[in-house]
Amino acid sequence: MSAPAGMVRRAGVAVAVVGLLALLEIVLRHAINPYIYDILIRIGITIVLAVSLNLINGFTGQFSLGHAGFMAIGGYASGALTYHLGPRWIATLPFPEPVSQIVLFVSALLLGAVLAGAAGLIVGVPSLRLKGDYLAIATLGFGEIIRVMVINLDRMVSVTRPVAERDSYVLIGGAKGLSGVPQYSNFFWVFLAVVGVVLMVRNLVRSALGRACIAVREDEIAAAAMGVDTTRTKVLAFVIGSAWAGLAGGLHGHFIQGLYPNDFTFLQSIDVVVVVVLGGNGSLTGSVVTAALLRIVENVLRTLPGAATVFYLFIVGGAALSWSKSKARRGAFFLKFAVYLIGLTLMLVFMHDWLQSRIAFLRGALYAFILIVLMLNRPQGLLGRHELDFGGLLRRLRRTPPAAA
Amino acid sequence: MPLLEMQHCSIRFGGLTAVSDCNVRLEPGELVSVIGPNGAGKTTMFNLVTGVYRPTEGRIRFEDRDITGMAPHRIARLGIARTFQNIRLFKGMSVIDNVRTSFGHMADYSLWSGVLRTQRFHRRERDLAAEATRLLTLLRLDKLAREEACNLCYGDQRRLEIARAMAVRPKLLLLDEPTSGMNPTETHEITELVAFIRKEFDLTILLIEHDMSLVMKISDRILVLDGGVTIAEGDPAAIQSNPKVIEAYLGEPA
Repeated sequence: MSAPAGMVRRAGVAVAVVGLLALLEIVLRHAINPYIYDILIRIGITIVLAVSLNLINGFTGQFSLGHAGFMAIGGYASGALTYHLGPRWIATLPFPEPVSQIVLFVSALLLGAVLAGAAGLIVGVPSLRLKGDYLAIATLGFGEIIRVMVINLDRMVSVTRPVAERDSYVLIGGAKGLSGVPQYSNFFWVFLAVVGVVLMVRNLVRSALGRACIAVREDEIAAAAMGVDTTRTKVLAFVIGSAWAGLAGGLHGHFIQGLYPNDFTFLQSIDVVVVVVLGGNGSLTGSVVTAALLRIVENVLRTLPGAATVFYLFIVGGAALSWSKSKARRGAFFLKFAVYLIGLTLMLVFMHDWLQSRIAFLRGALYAFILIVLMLNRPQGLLGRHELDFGGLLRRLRRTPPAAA
Repeated sequence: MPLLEMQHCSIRFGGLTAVSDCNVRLEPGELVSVIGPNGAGKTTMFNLVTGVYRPTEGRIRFEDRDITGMAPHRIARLGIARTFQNIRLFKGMSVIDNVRTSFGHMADYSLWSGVLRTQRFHRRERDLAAEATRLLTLLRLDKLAREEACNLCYGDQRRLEIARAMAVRPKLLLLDEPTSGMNPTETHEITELVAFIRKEFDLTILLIEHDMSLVMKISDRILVLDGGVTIAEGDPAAIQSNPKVIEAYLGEPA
């Protein structure tokens, strides 16, 4: 009874998810401001990057700083495919044009993911022997190698062309970047990838491989002594994480309609690490929530009222947390947060014009300030290693007793 | 046929010879204790058998198969499990997951099966969970199954280390000071436990231990190391009266 029933139920859920995403795509595309739509897409891509890096950094405990490199490989591979072969494919494929586009886009994304995964294998096998800081440096170096290769690849390949054509030769665009990649990414595809990566990593970490990953993180020597093939485990986690980073690169390139080496610098890797660490190493919901939070904060900080709101919320939130935690020192807390609130208000009133004219410059500093304060107060990340348990939350709301353990 | 055989094993770290010309034969079903002062090379010997170190010289054979220089996880899968002197649990994992990790290579479903949650995955995971629960019940840890390992009290952490090692389904179990830091009652419990699992699982055990009354009581044979050299070997009575052993432990007679 269970086999076919389970399959049917799953197929039903899959169809429902795809349908819902398609519906959302249509609604959002027409109903909301393109600026917000753009932020939503960036949130989605950040989630894919953060969740995949969490598998490597958070669950397996291998500190990688090379995520931008894998993102670049996937992005450039898929972008170059649709850029160069796209028009020809669409003309020759025996489908109506929209279907051909989908086939082309999905194959390009998969190609990017496979190549990024293969790069993960090549980089991972030698460098995963390193631990901690050393692995971080090795992966950082890899990311930079990829970026430098991207910048110089066209010139290297162009020597195979006649001299007259060399200067105008475009394979992946070099330092100028590859503009004119078709815009195939949209809310539907990006959030389909989000659903895919979250489900995959969640199921993986609850399987034998996931237990092996966590065991490697907790104690590599003990894991090996219990029969865990630590090298295979680390390399697998690395390859899977890299492949998803590659897919995220493809989604990114097909959204901003171009691929530029500056999008794949070391800073991009750091950005993903920040999301993972801030959300909590080893917490998927932490990565998802933080990805959304940071992308929103980053954009809200563009205007003074936005920045002011963020800081007011911050102070009030901090006050509420301290209030609920410690009963004894409420008086001191109250005073402290009152001083913060008054100080912020006075600053906004008296320095309004100065702040207003400099908010664009202050944005970076404020963003960094927020990260520092969050990290000082939650060194284990917003969610630590916990997951937001929606099922448990629902049960609690309905006040039904939990099932016996 | 001996279960484990170390033939002329030596290991040097730079100028220090940690273990020198070690020869051990373990017959199936034996319980052999290794004793000796601190720094005698007892734990290094364990690290040689489990593949953490590769001997500089000599061979190690397990069930008539050469395991010298084999990777630790492959040696574990052949049936050699161990506990650690300084507890090395997977602290952030639940008690039952600590045990299930050792079943890793028996979870014969593919990566995709795990990702897609196939019938096979569910069936195998259910079996493994049942198996882990059975083991935890035997070691009286079943009530703590969902607890994080780091929250366990010291004695329970030691038992969990043994449970986790048993989940590898070893033929040979290496116990590295299982009673260190324990009071007499807890020591007694561990002694009972070792005797119990030895009978229940038909185990061969190699034991490092400092508690002499325990060693004398449960060992079939005793091996005495000092400065990396095997200075004596024999049954408990012979060891107790061996002048070399007395000298190593109490110093030269005045």
